[in-house]
Amino acid sequence: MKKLFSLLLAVALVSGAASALADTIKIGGLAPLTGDVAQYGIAVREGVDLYIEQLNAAGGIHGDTVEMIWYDEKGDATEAINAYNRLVESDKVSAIIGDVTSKPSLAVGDLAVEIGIPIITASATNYDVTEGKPNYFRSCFLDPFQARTMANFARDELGVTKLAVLYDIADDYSVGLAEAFADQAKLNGQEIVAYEAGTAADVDFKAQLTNIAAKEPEALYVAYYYGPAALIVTQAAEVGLNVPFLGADGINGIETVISDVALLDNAFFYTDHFASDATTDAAVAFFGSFTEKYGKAPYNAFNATGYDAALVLCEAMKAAGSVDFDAVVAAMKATDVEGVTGKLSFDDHNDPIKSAFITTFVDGNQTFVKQQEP
Amino acid sequence: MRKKLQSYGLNILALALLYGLMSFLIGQGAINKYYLGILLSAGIAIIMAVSLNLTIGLLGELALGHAGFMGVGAYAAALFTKNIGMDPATVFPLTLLLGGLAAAVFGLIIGIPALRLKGDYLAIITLGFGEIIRVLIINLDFTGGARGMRGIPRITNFTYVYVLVALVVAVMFTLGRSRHGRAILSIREDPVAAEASGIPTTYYRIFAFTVAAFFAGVAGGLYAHYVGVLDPNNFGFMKSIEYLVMVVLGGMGSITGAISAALVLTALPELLRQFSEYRMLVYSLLLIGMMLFRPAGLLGIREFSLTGLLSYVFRRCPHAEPEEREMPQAVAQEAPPLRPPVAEDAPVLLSAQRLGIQFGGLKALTDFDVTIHAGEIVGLIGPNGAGKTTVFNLLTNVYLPTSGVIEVEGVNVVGVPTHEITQVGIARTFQNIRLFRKLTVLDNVKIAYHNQMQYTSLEGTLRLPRYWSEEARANARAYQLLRVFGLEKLAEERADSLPYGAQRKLEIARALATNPKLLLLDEPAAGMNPIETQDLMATIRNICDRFNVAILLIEHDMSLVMGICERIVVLDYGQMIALGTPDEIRRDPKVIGAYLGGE
Repeated sequence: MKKLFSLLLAVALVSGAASALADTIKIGGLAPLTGDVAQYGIAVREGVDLYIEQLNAAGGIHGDTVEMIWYDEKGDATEAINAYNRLVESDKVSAIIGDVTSKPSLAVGDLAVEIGIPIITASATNYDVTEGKPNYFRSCFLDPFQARTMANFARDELGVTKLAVLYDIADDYSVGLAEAFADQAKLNGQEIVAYEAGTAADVDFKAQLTNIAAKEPEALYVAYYYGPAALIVTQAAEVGLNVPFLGADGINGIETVISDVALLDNAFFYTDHFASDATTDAAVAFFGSFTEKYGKAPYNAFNATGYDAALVLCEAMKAAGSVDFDAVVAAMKATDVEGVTGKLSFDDHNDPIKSAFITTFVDGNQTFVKQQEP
Repeated sequence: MRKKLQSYGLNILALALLYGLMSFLIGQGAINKYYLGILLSAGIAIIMAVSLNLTIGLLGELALGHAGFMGVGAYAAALFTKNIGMDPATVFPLTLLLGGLAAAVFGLIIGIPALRLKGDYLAIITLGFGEIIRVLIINLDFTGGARGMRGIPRITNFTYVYVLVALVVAVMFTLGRSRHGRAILSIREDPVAAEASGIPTTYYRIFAFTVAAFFAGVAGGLYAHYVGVLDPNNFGFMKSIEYLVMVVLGGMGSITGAISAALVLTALPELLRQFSEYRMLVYSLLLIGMMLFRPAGLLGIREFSLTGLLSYVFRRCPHAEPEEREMPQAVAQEAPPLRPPVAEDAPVLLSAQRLGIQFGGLKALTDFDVTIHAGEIVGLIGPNGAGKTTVFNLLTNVYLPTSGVIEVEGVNVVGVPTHEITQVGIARTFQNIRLFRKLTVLDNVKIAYHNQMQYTSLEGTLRLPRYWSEEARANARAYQLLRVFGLEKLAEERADSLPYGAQRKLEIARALATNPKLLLLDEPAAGMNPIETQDLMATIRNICDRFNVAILLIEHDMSLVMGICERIVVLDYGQMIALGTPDEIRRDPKVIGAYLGGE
């Protein structure tokens, strides 16, 4: 009897092991790989593929290999729905990483919430993408988040209390950043001494900058993309406003357009999803392996958020011990991992709670300052 | 008619069977959500392509803003659904109708100014308007702006799409084969001839454009409630081009061609998924290949017909195309006294007094006086450039005279639009034959019956009794008329396949079909050999007697003019230099001078 039992046990073990070896877990990838926004889709895919390759090399998820199935949706909501349906119905994937831009993400999200499949986007910053969808997560932070983080950085690292804001009244991104920055500053006990508006079409910001200079702030939050921001920095010097400038991820690239890069050196600080010269272990390892795999350094923050999206999903699958939708979603909700973009967990809205990378410039080159906790 | 009804029945049965089969497969899960999604997208694309085909293929105008109308319909329908406060699913048909109407209103607003232009200009204008719609959507608050609109309930299902595709396609077929459809086709073929045949071309241009916009709006409503998220950039130029490609690939003017192209082009990118990033490249290569090997499109201007296919399969009659075969023998017996004969001492039919026109400094015609009596044959001769065709263009109001009056039966007709001149009783032919070349001989004639039929576009589309009775009568009359010219055997041939002489005759037949009192023939014998000319002379005399029309005829062939004209008017340098009987004219020194030079 005992012999028979151990025989059965052995058979069970062997067959178990065999099935574990044979299993693959399919994860669907939705991204624009062609078309106008293909650059973002490709950036995400490179990050995801790098993680999955490393994961499989390290034994996969409890021995199961992970297979990514990518479909191009050209940044189009209809195509995204077709691709999503194909992933779910024909390929029968266990989870989805995507979509990349906001509208396809919204379209797919409405379908995904019906069946509760775990889904995570690395790049869609529209607030509504995860709204009312308990199974939809994201690995990138939202705009208000980085504005609040910058206000905290100003308090903690720069030690400034009198702040000014210059924003673009015609742009949602800019208005959102400005409001969130001002709100957090007030919470921090900092004072907003000037709150001036312009538009991105302006080429002359001197009127606003003169007003701001008159209020003698200790730092200026520039809620603009890098093009107008370069003008603002140059003109601020002309009106004698010599204070640190603060900004968000849209500042990335300013050093390529500004007439005098020296104006930026240790003067402009901005939040970003990732800094390629970050010094955390995870970031350094990511930089190395990415460069090795693709023959180029990470060039876009979505390389890193893509990597982290795959990380969050696969870690949750490991923790859940199955690919059951509800179990994986629950495990994702409980995420607490160290990603390449920092320590990562989710709030009630499935948005990441994580640190932002503060970057400045030294000799005209982007230079990592620190990871600012929220 | 019975045969047609049989064919309708067959098609409806086939549609119902297909619907039953598809619903069953969807219910069974044999068609999963992925395939269903492609089917729905394809259905929406079919409506778009078929409606665009109305503008591009049938009307023959290149419009590049079709996706803009889809956008209007999509946003209108979505806004309605979100604000109705009722269960949106129950009012969905109404929602779609509203989407269509909103797009139709935009179509009308854009069509009225834009359709005054033609060809490339219209293409650019519609392109501009398409962009305006997109930019408006981006900049308006209630549309959600650049962020798009989200949270639109997904109501669109297979039944809605299937039924609407079937409806739109059916409407396109029935509308296309009614007097309104023929009017639209005639504009594609030759707007000048269409106008001269009594077709109000501006009206039908706008009509076709608006109907196309309406269906695009309906498709937009379906789209909005299928995707659930609207992005204004989805209704831009590239989207319009996508539908344009479908129409071109299917074969411009072919409804079934547009359907097959819409199906193929929607399914193709999905079938090519295994090529990953290269799939759009493969897709483009396939497009180029198809255009190279089938430049006229998948179906050209032909249509797929189920009845045709079935009779082909069963070899009942290898050439079944039931519509035009209906040559009702009984009706054909009726002789054609289309107008009561006029009395011997014929009253004055047309009188033009002191008619003149100036083009800038050039006096093309001055003080032209002519009186034509009912049933008379009058010749209009003169050297090249004397202003003969100008007289015709003035009498049919293609040009507005700078001086003088034209009276038909005592009523001044100056300023009456060209297409209404036929109703006054004047019809014309052209110096260079202007037939509706790609249409059948029969249709060429039936187009000219346009104003003698009364049924509305709705009656025509729904095939109500008045459609049947009036069409049957028009068919019978057209055959009679063709028989007079010995063309009845060629009734089914394309007009441009006819020999030259027959084309001339057909043009005269078409002009006669408008039931004129005065027929203007512009060099009917041009390019004919002496035997054909003899034949033509007999025909003209025959027409004059049989149809009781007066004829004013421009001709260089003196034997013809002298042989049949009762009176002759001679023009030189825009001046009338002689008027009289053939004998008088032959001896008139001014005429001899004008033709031979010198006194």
